[in-house]
Amino acid sequence: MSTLFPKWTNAIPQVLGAGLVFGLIAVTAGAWYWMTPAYLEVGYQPTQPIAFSHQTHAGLLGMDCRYCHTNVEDSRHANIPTTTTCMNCHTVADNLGGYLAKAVSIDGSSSSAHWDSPDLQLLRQLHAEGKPVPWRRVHKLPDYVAFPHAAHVNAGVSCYSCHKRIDQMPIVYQAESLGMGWCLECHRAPENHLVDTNDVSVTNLRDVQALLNDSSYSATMGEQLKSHLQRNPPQTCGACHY
Amino acid sequence: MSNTKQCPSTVDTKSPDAGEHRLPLNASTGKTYWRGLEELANTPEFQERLQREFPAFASELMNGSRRTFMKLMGASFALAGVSALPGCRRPDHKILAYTKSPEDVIQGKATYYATAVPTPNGGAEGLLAETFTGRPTKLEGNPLHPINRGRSTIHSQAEILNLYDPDRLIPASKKGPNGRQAVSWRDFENFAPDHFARFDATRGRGLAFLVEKTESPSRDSMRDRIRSRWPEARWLPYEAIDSDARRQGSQIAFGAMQREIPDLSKAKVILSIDSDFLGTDPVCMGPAGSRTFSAGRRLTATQGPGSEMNRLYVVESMISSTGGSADHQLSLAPSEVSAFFAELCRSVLRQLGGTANTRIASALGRFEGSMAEHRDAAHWIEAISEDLLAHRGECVILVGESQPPAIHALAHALNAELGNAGQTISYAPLAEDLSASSIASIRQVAADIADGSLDTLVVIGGNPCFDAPIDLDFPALYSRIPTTIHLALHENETGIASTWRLNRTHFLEDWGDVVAADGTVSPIQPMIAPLAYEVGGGEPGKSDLALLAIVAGDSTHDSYELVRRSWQEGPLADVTDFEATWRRSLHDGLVGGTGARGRAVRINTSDVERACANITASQGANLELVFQPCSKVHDGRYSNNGWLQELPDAVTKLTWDNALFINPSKAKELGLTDGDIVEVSVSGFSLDIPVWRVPGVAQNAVVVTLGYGRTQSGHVGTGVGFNTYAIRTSDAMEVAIGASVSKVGGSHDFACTQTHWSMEGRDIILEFDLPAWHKHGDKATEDLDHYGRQRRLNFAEKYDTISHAPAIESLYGSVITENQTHRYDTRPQWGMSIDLTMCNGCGVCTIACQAENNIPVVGKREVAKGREMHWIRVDRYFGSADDPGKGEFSNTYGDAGPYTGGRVSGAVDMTTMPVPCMQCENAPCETVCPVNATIHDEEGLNVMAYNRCIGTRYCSNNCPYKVRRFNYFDYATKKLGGEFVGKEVLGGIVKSEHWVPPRLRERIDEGAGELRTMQSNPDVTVRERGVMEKCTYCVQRINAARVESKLQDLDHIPDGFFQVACQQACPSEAIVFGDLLDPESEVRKEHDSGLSYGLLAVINTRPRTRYKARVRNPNPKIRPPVVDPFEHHGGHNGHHDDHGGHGEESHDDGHVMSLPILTETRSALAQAASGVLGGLA
Repeated sequence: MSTLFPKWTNAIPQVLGAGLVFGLIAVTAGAWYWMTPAYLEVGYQPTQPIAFSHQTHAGLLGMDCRYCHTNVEDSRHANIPTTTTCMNCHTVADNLGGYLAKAVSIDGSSSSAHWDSPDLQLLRQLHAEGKPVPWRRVHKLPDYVAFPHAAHVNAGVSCYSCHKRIDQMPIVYQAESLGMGWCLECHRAPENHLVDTNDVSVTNLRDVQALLNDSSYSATMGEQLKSHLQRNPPQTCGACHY
Repeated sequence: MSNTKQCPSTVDTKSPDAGEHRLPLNASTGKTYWRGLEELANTPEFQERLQREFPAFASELMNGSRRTFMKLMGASFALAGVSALPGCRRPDHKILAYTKSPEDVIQGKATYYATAVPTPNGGAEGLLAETFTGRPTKLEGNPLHPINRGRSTIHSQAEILNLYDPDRLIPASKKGPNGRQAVSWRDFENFAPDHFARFDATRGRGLAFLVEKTESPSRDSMRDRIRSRWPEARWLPYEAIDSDARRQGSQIAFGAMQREIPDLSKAKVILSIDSDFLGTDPVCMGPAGSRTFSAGRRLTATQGPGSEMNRLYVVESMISSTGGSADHQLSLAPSEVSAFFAELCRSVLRQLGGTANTRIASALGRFEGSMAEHRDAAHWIEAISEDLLAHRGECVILVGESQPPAIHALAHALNAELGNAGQTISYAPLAEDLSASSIASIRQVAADIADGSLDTLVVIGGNPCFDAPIDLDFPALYSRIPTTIHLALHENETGIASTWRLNRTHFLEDWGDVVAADGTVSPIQPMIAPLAYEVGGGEPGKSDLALLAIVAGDSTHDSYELVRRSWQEGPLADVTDFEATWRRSLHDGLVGGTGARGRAVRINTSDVERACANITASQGANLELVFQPCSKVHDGRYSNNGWLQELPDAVTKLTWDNALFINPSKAKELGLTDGDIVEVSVSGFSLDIPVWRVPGVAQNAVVVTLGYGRTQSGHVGTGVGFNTYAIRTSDAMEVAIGASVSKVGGSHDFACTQTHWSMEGRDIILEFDLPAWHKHGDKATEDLDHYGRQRRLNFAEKYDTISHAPAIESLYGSVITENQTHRYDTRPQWGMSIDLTMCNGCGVCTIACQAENNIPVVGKREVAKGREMHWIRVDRYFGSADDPGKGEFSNTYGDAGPYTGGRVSGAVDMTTMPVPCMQCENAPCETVCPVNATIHDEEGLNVMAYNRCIGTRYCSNNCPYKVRRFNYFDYATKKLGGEFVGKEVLGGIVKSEHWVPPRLRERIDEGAGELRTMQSNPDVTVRERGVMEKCTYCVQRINAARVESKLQDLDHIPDGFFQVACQQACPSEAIVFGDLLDPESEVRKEHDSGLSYGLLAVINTRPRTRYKARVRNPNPKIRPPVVDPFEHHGGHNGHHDDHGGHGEESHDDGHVMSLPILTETRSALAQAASGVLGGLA
């Protein structure tokens, strides 16, 4: 008897089944990828229009964070510096004098600091045109979260706690998840992340790292918090979401 | 309604007759309170609304058929598919820093600059503009400015939205052979010199300037320059709403035009003769009037200082904010008001004696007994005149614009004779532009056009083609002028008819100056460079000063230079260091030493006596049509402002509309009900307009508000309401006698909020008379209640429902348990107090909240469904002294009740009540949220995490105060009006763009609509669709204050360290906010007052927002005060009978307290609960 269905049709259920499984996986993976906000990703490291190196400036040259991020102690934002702030140093190559030489000598690879580097040419051009540098944002919290830098920095939360060793990053990347659970870790146990600003400046990332890794220091902080420091990080919704 | 058993005050064991409806009486006064006529009559519609937690159709998208729906949605589904997915991934965010650091800018922190806004018809408000990196986001009152003292009004609050109105940015245009063409200001600057040079030969003949009224040193200086170049050019100040009567009255009384400058804080007795001085009448200088008035009403003690309050009598044609705040309010038609006042004057002056007074009194002789037909008016006149005479030098009489000049003159005479002049009221000469008669100006223009002598008309501000008197036929005349130049914020009806339509800068965009009513000179300091469309090559506008400079051929066209030049010649001519003084006045927002210019002026009694002959007697049954400025859009100038359009009117609670306001019994007589279209005919003109019945409109008057029915306003204001200028003629600008009203069929849908979010007839408003407060206010608060339990109840609470309900025992044990982490015992604990005695219902709290908290405008269609988003609403309750169950009312609409014209004593009174979130300590909303999106924090705030909310709306269902708002659509991102999806299909069907649901509207961030988002407060989340939101006590300000106090090393946030938005704006200072655990804080003192009560405290929500009961100060001669509220109440047939005799007989009276039922209910509940628990176990 002639077969109604050719033999190859026997494979249809298997192919369909396998296809369904792979399809589901693909859809799930796709949805996962497309719908996960990128700003929650640790390691997000966009390419910047100018290859500004925190490693060179904050690390090798030892510039304080607040030289550029001037508002961090007064405002919710740690502002991006104005172009004129860059030009304070980068106006004339000669004026950089020893600093430039120092930077180049310590870090032989940082050729971008040369006067004729395309990055600095772009900076000077933008400055001359009065246009801002189109920096790409690395750390982004959603609109429904309010994070005041001033409150944290003044309370003794170091830049290190959220941004890690940004003074060792040639190109900045997101070092922590910035998710709510991560925030609460610190708000629930502040002694593990607070430094006494009398001991160390919050912008001295290397020393802060050393202190925070020292378990006896967090024990002291815990005592101090209880006795006199008056640091009560809120854990209620309304503290950050409004 | 009667089956609800949760609240003893609403329990009625007798089943009510089907046809009988009784509203619960108020414990303290025995009055009935109701919000709308539907509620009073208990219509099925009202009942249905009560039963539903959310208004009908609240979750339906369209009322149209499913097919239409799919057709419409198809397009948007398709769009959503394209746009939604990529939007989820990798937001590539740019950070653009400044290239050069501006001075004094800290990113993320607001900077405040002083400026001032000119108010309509002269005068100004001093403001502080909050700016974020150069972007103004909110306006507050300037604390240094004597008019504002830090407070503001709905208009100054809403001006920020006008700044970002995309409709404002239409570029300049010129009438060409093929319609209008866009032009640039440069074109005008090229055209002007040659054109205006022609008038040098004629000395200015043929040239006229029709300018808005303002008192500005710089504009006056430009006027003088124009005059010196063209002496015969006409300079004509014009405002659509501008009564000659007030000026002429002062001319009669003083021989020169004077402006009144009252100081209500010194007045113990205030008589308002049709003057809405807390609302639309600028006589008391806007916010200064509310502030000084309420300063005389704040009760802080029962004896000694702070225990007395002023007394306000209002006689007016329709109940207003002022009438609602009054101790005695009487609604009479305008001519009856005149007769009433004439008779009152006669009585007072005769008793004062003296030759001049006696002569005026005898000139008013014909009014003797003229009020006899009004049963109690004679009684009123006697009582008021006695009160005035007893308070010589401490009373004040204010007259409104609807009254004729002679009445104004009489009031001036009376104020002088009573010794008030120089005490409670003083006078200052009117500036030249302000003393001009608007009606004379517009008639002059019309006459010049008619005889062909007018060649060029420059119109600055104003919109005469829309608002000129209809009998002049101004639009037709206007088109006959060879050259017309119109400078205005918007392209309005006059603009599109003009040869040159020039765009004007907003006051926050360019320099200027203005003089406030009290004489304070303020600079107008710009906050932002003039805005313009970048696409389409639009060009920013210029200020009126710049235009006048161009016209006059001035050497500079720069407003900054013009202002400085005029100040060097004018206000600062005498100072030695101009720069220092200039900078100081920019900082302060005013020129030191100006202001307070009032003084007493001699009265010309013989002229007053002569004027008495002109007072017409009462018009009897002749219907009087009253034209009033709209409290929101004024003369129409604010009509493109969504905040104002959507703000419910203080009295009518209408949004997005105007109507013919009519007394309910008059409406019944004419067979009319709400929404019926009628034809109003008067002076040979007629208009079709819908009716809205308002108790408190005089029997013989109908009232319309002006400023609606704009045909050329913008996406928001065009086509809203009905143009009542169409029946306003040049000889009847305020009142038209002999109007006829006839039904023409058809009806109109209103969006009225008066019965939205109703809380049924519980004890919501508590009201007392002053003597009761004096006698009982301090009575021991620790007392036995009616159930013999020791309860701590203050004066107000003793009359609240809470006093006759047993203390609530929670099924879950004590409210604050041992395991609860926070016990509200650490500072700060936030709380609010709202004083109902001071609130006049203006709504500035609503607008300020809207500006602060990024609250969207939803449009008329959504408001009609009860979806308005205001976080703080102002409820308006009418009260009537008569028991509706006793035959004064029947249950039909608008039956002859207490409002019949003859029955003066039965007048309604009005109480307004702002209702924000109560921040209950036992918040019912929190227990029902399935996702913990709303919880309590340690400081007593009921916080709302928007990002957690999944939109079940359970919280709103469970909120007894109905203060939670739901984003049914993406209001924040969709434009109001404008383009919408499916316009090709629906364009012809949709009558008004306000009826388009936001889902189908164009996105805000497309094109120029992006501007609107610039107003947003960066400290507050913009909420998306499907999220609940509500008042948060401005938690962003609390958090900012907390951070700031830590930076300043303060132990606690001190009282007054910051204000919440509604509190800051309220000119009556009715709202107090602060830390309840601070023993010295204002709010602690307010909460400790005997008048403080919690709204619906009986249900044990423990609200943090408490109210101070409304206190009235009645004149015993008019209404005996209720001194002992308990006894008073016992005599009434209400549900509070048990207050008086607690005997058996009261149980037969109908409304019965039913403790047993409550107990049964509770035990049943407990059984049920244990059953469930047992089952689980």
